[in-house]
Order: sequence, then structure tokens, then C-alpha cells
Amino acid sequence: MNAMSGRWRRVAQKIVGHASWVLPSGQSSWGDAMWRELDYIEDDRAALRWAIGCITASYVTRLAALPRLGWRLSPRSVLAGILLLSIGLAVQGYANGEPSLPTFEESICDLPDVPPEIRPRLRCGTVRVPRDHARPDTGSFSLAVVVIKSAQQPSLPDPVVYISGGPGNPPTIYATYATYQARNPYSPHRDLILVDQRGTGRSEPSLCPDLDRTLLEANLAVAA
Amino acid sequence: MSRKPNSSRQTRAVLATLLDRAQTWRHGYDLSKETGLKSGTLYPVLMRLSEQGLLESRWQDPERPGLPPRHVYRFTSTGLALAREQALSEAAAVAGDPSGAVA
Repeated sequence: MNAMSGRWRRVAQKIVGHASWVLPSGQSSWGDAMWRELDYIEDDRAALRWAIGCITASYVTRLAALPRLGWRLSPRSVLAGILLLSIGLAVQGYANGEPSLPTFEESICDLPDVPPEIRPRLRCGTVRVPRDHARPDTGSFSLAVVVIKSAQQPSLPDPVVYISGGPGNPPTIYATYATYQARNPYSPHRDLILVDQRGTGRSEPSLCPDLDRTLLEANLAVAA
Repeated sequence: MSRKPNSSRQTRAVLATLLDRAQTWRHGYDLSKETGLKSGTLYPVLMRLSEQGLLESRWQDPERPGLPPRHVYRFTSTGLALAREQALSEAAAVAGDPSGAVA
């Protein structure tokens, strides 16, 4: 795989991550379904074509869920503009090597002890942010993020973002616990976004790996 | 709209491809290649057929270590009946029998 093909693969992953995000939460397993097929497509260009299709599928499904739009949707007309714009932006960001706005890159949830019934409501991933926002050329850190879709759908459009106090406590490991809260203390109608602050939990940089692991295990014991 | 449900060319292609090996769990990417449909067309069809109870899906264990599980699909008994009916009516239409013509 040469450098260019690796770049296309990353663009494809970024696009499918966005496609997955666009889907209504009741359909999130379909986002996972499309996402995982990507790993079975060896050719990078084919993967990119797959990803572009996924974004079409997601927008069609999302907009079809809107009662007034459903009957007059045409993937070839109304959506073409949206798709070209979003894909163009994604490709341009990589092609020029310019810093793009941080975006959620979804990955498979590997949180421990997540019961299957709440799995469809969890979206795990990372957001890559500049090490120093004033100097984007100094590198970046990957931050761990878990999104808990509200049990009550459709959820309100603006989510609650939770950053743990301390600092030092990594809230993403409490995702299972937070999902189980019958009375979501933040807002039952909103999606909840948990972010591990830089240097804590699964976020970079890993300052004290041994201590982090001990604290993580202790926190997991409390969360269980 | 008066059009018969599940009669679009794309949906018929998916139904026919699934009918080829009706007992086999099929992957999205393979269905895309066999039907010639892009993922953007294929998945809305799969979602709709699933919602209608014509398809069942499950997660299949990875084929090799390091790869993720895959979502796979096959007909329910209702879906299989509908696909067979559709295939018969298409065959009848090809044979020139107007009673079996597809709208």
C-alpha cells in the first residue's frame, strides 16, 4: 500500500464514520454494518466508492425519517449537493495537508461488560485535536469519546457533553453505568457525549501508563 | 402512490440475488458486487426489507483474527415466499402471460 492509497483509505474511513453518525439512532446497527464491510474491501478505491455510497444511504435514511420529506426524496437531486460538499471537504482537507476541523472517528466499542441490549445506543471513537491549538503544526492528540444515544427518540438536536471534574477521572469508562441511569441526570431527551480529557483514561498523551492502568481498573471496579 | 411495493428494479435485483442461495447468510459487500448496486442504493433496500420483516440479520464472527464481525442477511419465511412469487410473476411476464405482468 503506497502513501496515496493509505490516504484514500483514511478518507473512506472518515466518510463512513460520518455516514454512521448521520443515521437515526434506531438504525445505528446499520451504520456498524456498513462500517465493518470496509475492512473486507481490499482495494482502496473500491473502499472509497463504498464509503461514498454509505453516506448516500445514511442521508437517504435520515431524511426519509422526516415525515414531510420522505415521499419526495431523490438521492440524485436533493442529496447530490450535500454529498459532494461533504466529500469534497473531507478529500480537500487530506489532499492539501491542511488541518481540518476535528471530527468524530468511530471505532468498535471495546468497553468491558457492555450488555447487548445497550450496545446499539453506544458509539465509541476518537476525536483528534491539535496538541496546541495556537500551533497546529506541533502534532496532535487523540481523545477518547463515547456517545450515548438517548433512549427516547428522536432526541433533542443539541447533546450534552460531559467532561469529568478532577481533572483525572475518565468518564468514558462509565458509559455502561451512565446508560443504565433510568433518570438521566443531564437530560433524558438528549444524547450524552462523554470525553476523556487529554492525559486521562484512553486519551493521549499517556502520562503514567502504569498508574493509569491501576486507576482505570479501580474506576472500572467502582463502575461495575 | 399506487406502485406495487418492492417492485423497483433495485429491490427486485436484491430479492433475486438473495433467492439464488436463499439459505445462505449474505454479506453487504458481496450483495453489492452481485447485484451491481452501490452501497448507497443497497443499504436503504436492505433496511426497508428488514423493517418489513422480509429479511433477518445477525452479526457473524470474523473470518480471520483482527477483522471485525460482519452483518449478514437472509430471507425470513415471509421474504422467501414473496421473492419466489416475484420470480414467478417475472417469469410469467417474460413468457407473455399478461396475468403475471409486473406493474
